[in-house]
Amino acid sequence: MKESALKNAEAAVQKAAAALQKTAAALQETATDLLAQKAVDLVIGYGRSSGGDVVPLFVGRVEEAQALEWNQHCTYNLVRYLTDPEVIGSFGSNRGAKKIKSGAGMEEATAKGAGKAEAVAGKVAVVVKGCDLKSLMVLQSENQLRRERLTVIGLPCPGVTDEAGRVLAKCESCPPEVYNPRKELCDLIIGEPVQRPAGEPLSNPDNQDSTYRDVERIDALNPAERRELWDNYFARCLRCYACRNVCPLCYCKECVFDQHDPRWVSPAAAVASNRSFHLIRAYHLAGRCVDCGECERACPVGIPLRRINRKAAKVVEESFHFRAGLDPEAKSPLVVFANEDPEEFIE
Amino acid sequence: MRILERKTLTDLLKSRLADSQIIAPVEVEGRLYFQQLDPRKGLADLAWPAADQPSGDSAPGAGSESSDSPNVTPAVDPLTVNSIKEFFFPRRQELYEQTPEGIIPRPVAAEKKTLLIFARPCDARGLTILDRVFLGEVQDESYRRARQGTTVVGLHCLQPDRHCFCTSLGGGPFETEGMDLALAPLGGERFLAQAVTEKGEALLASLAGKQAGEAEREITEKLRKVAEAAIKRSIQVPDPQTMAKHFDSPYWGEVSRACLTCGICSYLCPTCHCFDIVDEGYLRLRCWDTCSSDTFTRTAAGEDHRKQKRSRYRQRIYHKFSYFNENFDTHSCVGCGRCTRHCPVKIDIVEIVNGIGEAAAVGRPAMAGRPEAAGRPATGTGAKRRRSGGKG
Repeated sequence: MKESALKNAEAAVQKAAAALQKTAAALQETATDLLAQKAVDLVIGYGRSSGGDVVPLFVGRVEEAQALEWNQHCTYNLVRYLTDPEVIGSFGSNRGAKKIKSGAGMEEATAKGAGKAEAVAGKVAVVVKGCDLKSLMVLQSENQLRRERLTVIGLPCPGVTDEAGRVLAKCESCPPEVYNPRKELCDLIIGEPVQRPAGEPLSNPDNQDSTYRDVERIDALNPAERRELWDNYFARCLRCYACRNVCPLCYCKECVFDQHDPRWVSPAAAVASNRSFHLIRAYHLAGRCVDCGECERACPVGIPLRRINRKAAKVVEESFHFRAGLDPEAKSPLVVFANEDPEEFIE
Repeated sequence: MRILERKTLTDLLKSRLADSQIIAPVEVEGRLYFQQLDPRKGLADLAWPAADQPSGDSAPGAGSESSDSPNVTPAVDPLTVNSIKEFFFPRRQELYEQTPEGIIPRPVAAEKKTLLIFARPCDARGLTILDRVFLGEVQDESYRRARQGTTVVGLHCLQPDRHCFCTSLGGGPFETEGMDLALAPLGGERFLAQAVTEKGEALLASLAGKQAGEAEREITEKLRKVAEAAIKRSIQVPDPQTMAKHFDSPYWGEVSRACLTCGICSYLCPTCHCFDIVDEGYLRLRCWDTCSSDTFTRTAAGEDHRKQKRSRYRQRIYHKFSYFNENFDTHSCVGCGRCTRHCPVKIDIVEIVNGIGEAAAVGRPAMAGRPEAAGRPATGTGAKRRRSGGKG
């Protein structure tokens, strides 16, 4: 019995791998076409380093499109690069792309980053998984993207794994309408819809059944226990800022933690300043974080950062019946006023 | 060379817990970290080296030279996340305090008897590189005291992984540079101990253990060969002229494009030693800093001399493989692989350095799917990689 179950599991894995391979080939073809027809100047996808690791790949030439990959190790949220002036800027500049006067969003950043009088930027295609797409929705709702310059390539995702081959926790609760990117939010969808054990549905934001079990476990502790738990984690923090820098929604041109004068929070790693860093960051992401999980994945010392952001998400959801990243038009409840907003805090 | 039973080491550590600090690998939620052991908990946290054989799929002949104990597969990455540098060059160090009576320097901590156990050869060698900086013409008193008070008991490395490349930088899984006493695991219960310095000799003399025979030497020699063979990557640092020539190459923009400019590579690096001087209220302190951050070169007036991440990433490479070599006759890299292993987007330092000579000339990185750069080493995982036919 056991053996046959194992064989079934192996067969399923092989089948999934074959499907991924097929999607990768289709992706390469699409990227080739987009570049050859000059529909885009850059494709941001996944490739592989000579050391054998999956890496973000920036494809600007037709002949490089063959290096694009799609497999279960494609964990990175590439939406992060859409607000990076050195990624967007460098490609526009030598591709003969049309010049765009500096303005809002990435163009202005390009001008600053490249130190040029006039920003030059071309069109960009980006490969997204459903979870990544949610962060793109938030960027769009916050006017950080020129959507017309962007070709969003959605890939149905069977779930991604860490290096040891374990499926990431965020994937386990991922619902079908996320892991199969919605057509109306993408420009292209490559690959067949994926079927996998269903997670809990996100489509109804009022559905408040226990999707936040991890948060509830911590909520159940008393304040002293919670403090001890988190301070133990924060004591490890190196203040490398990987969590902030990998975050697609941490796009501030000057982060409060980088300001020198005044220096709001000491950059030296110690429990008190580390605690300030993580909690301030959580506040800045409240109502915006889409739980793409990149912060937690990037953290070299294993701080469970998703739990902090999910706590904020839970509060926002309970107070405002809002989940971030599902609608490109929806503004975070913390940046808009509505008559029906709860006012319990005014006594 | 002597053979030490595990119990001998356990007894040593137990007795030292009372009167000195012990720094050792500790497992926390599936990852290993070097930490100071809490004397109240005894040796409960100490992560003993588990496997007695080179691990990983890339180790040829793994298991064939088995000694007398079963081959244990460790549940965790056998390499610690952090290096041992923070025990000599702390993340945060108070220097002065401003008081109504004036500026009072913080006293430098007194020399503390410390036993640092199971340092890997790469980490131990990292100390000798930090020594060049902190114990050169100007001596850093707190670093000097920490170094002097610490006995480094190293552990030969049987578990290099696919990101390791120490052998191409003059190190090796059985090298002893930077250690006082070196231990080679002979199965899970015995170690072959070799004194490297006088400090190590004194320590070894205080321990009971029979002299090693030819058999143990042979086993160790075999393990050394297997461990060395398990290291598949090799960094080929170009000569200084080549480095200088490609300083302005567009290559740096290409290879740093994915960089998130976080500080993981610097902060986990056993040899990165840049720091910032900052004020916390009335305290002035020294803390780690990283050249990847755009605040690193920002002046008080707000001007930033390395605005772009390409120039910051280039600085990291040139500091390690050009400037440091000019000043100290060695590269500031021991090939531990942490910068790539823990990089959130797996920026590959070996690939980038190896590409300087050839690819920098044309301004493009050598990546999978692209033409092979000359001198690029064969990689262990290379054969498994899907080769695609890019002609670019």
